[in-house]
Amino acid sequence: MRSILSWLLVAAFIVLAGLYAAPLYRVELKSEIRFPEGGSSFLSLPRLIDTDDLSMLYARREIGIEPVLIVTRVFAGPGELPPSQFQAFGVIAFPSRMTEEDTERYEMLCRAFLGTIPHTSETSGAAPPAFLTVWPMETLGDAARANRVSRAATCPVAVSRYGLAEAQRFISAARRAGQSIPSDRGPFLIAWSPGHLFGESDVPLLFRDMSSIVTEQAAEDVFFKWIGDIQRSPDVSEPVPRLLRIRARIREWADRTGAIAVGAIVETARLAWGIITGKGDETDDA
Amino acid sequence: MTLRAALILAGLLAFAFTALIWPYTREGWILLGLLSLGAFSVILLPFVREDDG
Repeated sequence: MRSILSWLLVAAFIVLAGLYAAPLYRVELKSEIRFPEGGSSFLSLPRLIDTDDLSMLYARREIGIEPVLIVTRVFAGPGELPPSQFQAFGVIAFPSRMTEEDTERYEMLCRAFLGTIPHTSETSGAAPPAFLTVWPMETLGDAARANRVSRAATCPVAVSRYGLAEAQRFISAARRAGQSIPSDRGPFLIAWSPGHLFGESDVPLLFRDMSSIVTEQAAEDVFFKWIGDIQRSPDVSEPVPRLLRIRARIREWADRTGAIAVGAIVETARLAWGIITGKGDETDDA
Repeated sequence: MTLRAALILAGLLAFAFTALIWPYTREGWILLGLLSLGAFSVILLPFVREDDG
């Protein structure tokens, strides 16, 4: 009897887990959605879409509000774009420049940035972009170059000529606004909405810490959610479901810590094997 | 519940929990899988009665 109860418990848990994990299968869900002709181009942007975001788009469409304002990205030099001219002004701020060890991570984040948020030049119409996320560059020339080169060649330029001084200016402005900035590797996504709040003290900000992001897919998820955050601003108080937030936190922690822990175990095992078999010295000598 | 049943149950629960979180990397799966296996084993330990089996 107890055994049957145990198996029933397992079955119930798996069913509940499946129901809760259903939003993971967002790609299939995306293909089932049929928007009218001339519908939103949002669905072509992200690879993963939360059902919450989809329902938000549906709700907007049903009540006749077209989500026509899209978040765009641009590479900008020092002082090139005054934040006050934008409805929302975001920035991707790294607290330090890349080193040899983290070049791959910086480029991975850059690829996710390019892959998720369209460039300002891609938007049709003469109206200036209202929602902007800026990747700061060292000089105006670097910014022009990063904006001009092909997408495949953008990231090496964008990463090697990253505008650290500008990034630190944005981080200082965020601190002035009352945002606590962790002492971590970043990057931090920071946005002022509306843009004229930039530089003011004690104003609400949009903020995301991407320090724990180690995969491109996770970075794309963050950028896609970032798009949603900015589009919903200034109504930023809309809560993200707590369970989804907890799941994302655990996932990021497992991905980051897993890489460190498993790497350390593998290295230790390799070292121990080298000592046991007496090949450790040879490897070192080589 | 016997020790064997408890371990099987802990394994299934650990797998379900890890799949629920769905880490993006293989290392994430390994770490979370092992940790949740340990946690569920500890949780189920008080229900183990060897004489049941």
